[in-house]
Amino acid sequence: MVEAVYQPMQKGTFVSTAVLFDLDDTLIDLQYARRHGLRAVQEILPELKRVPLEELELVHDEELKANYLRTLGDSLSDEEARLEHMCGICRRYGLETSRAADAADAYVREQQSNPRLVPGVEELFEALRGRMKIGVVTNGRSRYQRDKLEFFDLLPLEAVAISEEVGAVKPDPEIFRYALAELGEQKATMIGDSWEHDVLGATGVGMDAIWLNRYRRPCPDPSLAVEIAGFEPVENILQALKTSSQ
Amino acid sequence: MAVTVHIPGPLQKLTNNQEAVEVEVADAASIEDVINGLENAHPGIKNRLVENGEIRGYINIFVNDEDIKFIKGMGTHVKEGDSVNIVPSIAGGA
Repeated sequence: MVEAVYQPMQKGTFVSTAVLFDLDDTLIDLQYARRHGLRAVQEILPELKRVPLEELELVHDEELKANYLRTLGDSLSDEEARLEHMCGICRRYGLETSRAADAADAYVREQQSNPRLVPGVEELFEALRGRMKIGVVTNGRSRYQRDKLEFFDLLPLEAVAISEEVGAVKPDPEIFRYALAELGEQKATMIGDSWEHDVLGATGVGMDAIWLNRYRRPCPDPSLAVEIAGFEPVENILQALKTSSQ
Repeated sequence: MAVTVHIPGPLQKLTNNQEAVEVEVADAASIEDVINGLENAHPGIKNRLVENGEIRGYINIFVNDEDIKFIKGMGTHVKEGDSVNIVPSIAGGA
């Protein structure tokens, strides 16, 4: 784990000249929004109040993962996916799945009422702009991901690689090569929260990687990536960017 | 008359970090008038909500919990004391 050692950033001190970010749960704090949604589910399904929120999150994550690839394509809409996830939660805790629709409504209302960037992202972008090329490599539907970039005021970027547009899903090397070509760079440092998609995907094409590990999961292989717990203080990530390329 | 507009977090930097702002509009004003009033007080916010004269596709606006898409869109009328909520439709983490 990189210590939060303060080292003033000066132009030209980076070894990397470009940085690529994952979008969901790296720049945009979807987990924060999901937690709000799941608390609302506990209100609608009071039997779940005895379930610790962390446990409910894990169960919900399993449901998300089970449908992940289907939601990237056209076979499952977000609304259908939400209902399936709530049905899965109901089944897990022995509740009638007929109650899942109300839970899904409550979930989405609270989830969408709590949009935010991961803490530190705005300051980090401010520090990086003009000093490094910045891009995004993200799995998802084009319209949804571009809407998010716009709403959260993350544009302009030097590269935007979205799986639906590129025709390759992380960790497929093709999507990283596409992003590098957009950047006009041979190499870049990839920052993301997914070990499989971001770290393994990026290092697989020879890029450096920084693993955003906000929830203190065990690191599968410290030799592959620099690990950070968050973007605050911003000097922490700037230090990591230098370290990642040494 | 005044209506209260609730601002989502990522847009609050345009409203001096206020979560809710009072907007003064004429009687029988519409959501379009409210947005214009919001823009007068907080320049730049209209562009984040509206594109080519229409509410952006990922922005939902509710008047007292009713989605204006199902009323009259930008032409939806507001009245004294109404609560206007701006909620982005952010996909992901379904």
